[in-house]
Amino acid sequence: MAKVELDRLTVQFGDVAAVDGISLVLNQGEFIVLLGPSGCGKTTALRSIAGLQHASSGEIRFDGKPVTGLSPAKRNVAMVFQFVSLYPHLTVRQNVAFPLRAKGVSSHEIGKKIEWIAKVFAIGDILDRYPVGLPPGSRQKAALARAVVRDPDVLLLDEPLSAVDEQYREEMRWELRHLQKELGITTVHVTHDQREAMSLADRVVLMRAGRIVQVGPPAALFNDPADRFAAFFIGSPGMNFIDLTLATDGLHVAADQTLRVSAPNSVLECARAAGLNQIVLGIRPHMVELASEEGRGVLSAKLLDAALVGRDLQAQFALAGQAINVVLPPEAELRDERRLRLPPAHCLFFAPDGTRLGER
Amino acid sequence: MSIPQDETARVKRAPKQARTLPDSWLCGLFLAPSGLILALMVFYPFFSLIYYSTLQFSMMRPRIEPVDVGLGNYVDLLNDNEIWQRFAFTGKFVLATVLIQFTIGLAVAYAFQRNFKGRDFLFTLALLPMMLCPIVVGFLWRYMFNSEWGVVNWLVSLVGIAKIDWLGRSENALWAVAVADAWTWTPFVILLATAAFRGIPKDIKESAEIDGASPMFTFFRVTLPMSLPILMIALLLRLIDAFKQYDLFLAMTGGGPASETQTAAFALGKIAFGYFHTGEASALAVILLIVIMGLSMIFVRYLTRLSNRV
Repeated sequence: MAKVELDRLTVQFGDVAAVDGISLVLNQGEFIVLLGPSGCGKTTALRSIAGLQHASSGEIRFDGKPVTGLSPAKRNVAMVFQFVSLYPHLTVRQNVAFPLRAKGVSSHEIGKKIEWIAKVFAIGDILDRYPVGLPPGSRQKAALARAVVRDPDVLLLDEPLSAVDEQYREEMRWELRHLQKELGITTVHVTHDQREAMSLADRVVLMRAGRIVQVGPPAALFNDPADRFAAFFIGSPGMNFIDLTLATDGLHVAADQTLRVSAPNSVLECARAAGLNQIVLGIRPHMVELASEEGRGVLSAKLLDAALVGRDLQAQFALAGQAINVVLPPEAELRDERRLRLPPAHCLFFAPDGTRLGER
Repeated sequence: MSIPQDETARVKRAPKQARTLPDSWLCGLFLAPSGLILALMVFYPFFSLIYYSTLQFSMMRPRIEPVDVGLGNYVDLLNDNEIWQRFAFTGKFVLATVLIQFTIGLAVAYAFQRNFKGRDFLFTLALLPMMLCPIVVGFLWRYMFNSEWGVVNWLVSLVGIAKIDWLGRSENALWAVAVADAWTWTPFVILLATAAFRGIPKDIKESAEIDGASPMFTFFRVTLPMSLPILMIALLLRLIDAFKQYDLFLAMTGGGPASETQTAAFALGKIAFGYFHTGEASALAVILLIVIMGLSMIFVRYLTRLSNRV
């Protein structure tokens, strides 16, 4: 277990900076998830920590000691890859023993370690099987066992659950989190699945175009996104964005002057100071309510479609030509024309370039 | 009179249906050319060979009636000490040449794994010997191994060793021909081994690196075992070819001194086209075939077991 520091880490591929000067401190035993769309540099950052990717500049430290120039073998890191990670010509037992044999651990010691790890991961019954016949879930469990069997300082997981079937993924997520806490290994997990990130992480690191957008506990990212990208990327279905026009007499929906919207003074001041006359309102689908009568923050909209998804009634409305997704309780009554209320406490405001307006 | 719409449709469709062949016919038709070629080029010669092997006759004397000797030819051959010596020599030669081919071939393929400048050019260059005609290779090496003015002895003399009679003594000739054979066919091993090594997923190689395995440990515990299915095919093909080696011995030693450097295939050639004992030669050919087929079957069984796993 180690504390991991990334200090202005940069990885260049030709002219492109896949990782663009990120700094981050991972505390001992912490479960960190690097989250972002494909090509955001999360995997490159992970591979740099592993030593598989040469850093163009910046430094990586484990417990204060620089490891930037060291080969993967000298870093004492473990990694689980997305797809093929077990050696297909070896049984699960031989796979798990592989890193120990590579280090020259005695057979007696290896036997004891395998017995221990088989118990922790509940893989005792598949130890003598070859990976090819195993379901993806068991395979990844074996890969995890191989990774942690030698007490690594850092455990790196590169989308390890994406090969696992949807129905087992949920279960594996809980198991993974439980095992990580039990073993206390500093863990970096890479994923593009925001639900996976939210359910696993102590802290989520949201990345975009090689830079960190926001770092924080899952709830903080959900409730208090740093910008429009963070607001859009986290939460499902995604946040609604409504274009607004800032007139002298207040805010209204860009396409329809009669639909007036209120915003906190801090937002208006901020927007006026920046000389903006267009801003964007963001609201999560779960927060939009149906209103029975006119009032502050109530807008009339036209129902486009609705479907019952599990215990949610998901509906789409057209608000002055813009589509708005709404998640309602299943008993909600829908008519073609409805009034939607956007509770001011749940409205976020962004400048057209995506930055948050007002106090965070 | 007008025909109803659907009626015309049926009339039009009918001849089309008649033109379609049943699937099984079509299958047979597609298979027929290959089947015919196989029958003419493989089955006919094969069964004739087996038939001839039970006869005592010579194709040079077609007027003399063949005598049916049953398994007599086989019994004679298997009781012939000389034939056993030819097989022993062949075995030694096969081991020697395949050993050289795989030692050098795997080492070179290992080096070709890494990216370096001029790799593709070197790779193409390395494949050249394979494209030469075997008899040409034989003469080339015969000159190089010439004890009086060959380049090999000149090199040897530089180290201060006296001239060696490479092709005149059977124990030297075995290695000399093995070297020539290996020179021709090591590129084949390089080709297949390189393909096999490059076929190993990057994740696996990186896994090994992260697991703390040294390059040697990775090579012997991961790269080599995972390449085994392809390497086994290369080995099988090389074994079979080496077992049948004929041209190089013909060009380099002519089977001599005496008949000491005759392989089984060489002996077969001599019986068939030197002495024209066609019946006996056919029997020897069948024995050679059985040995090679036995070898192949062991390999195929092993290969199936391997590929079930990987």
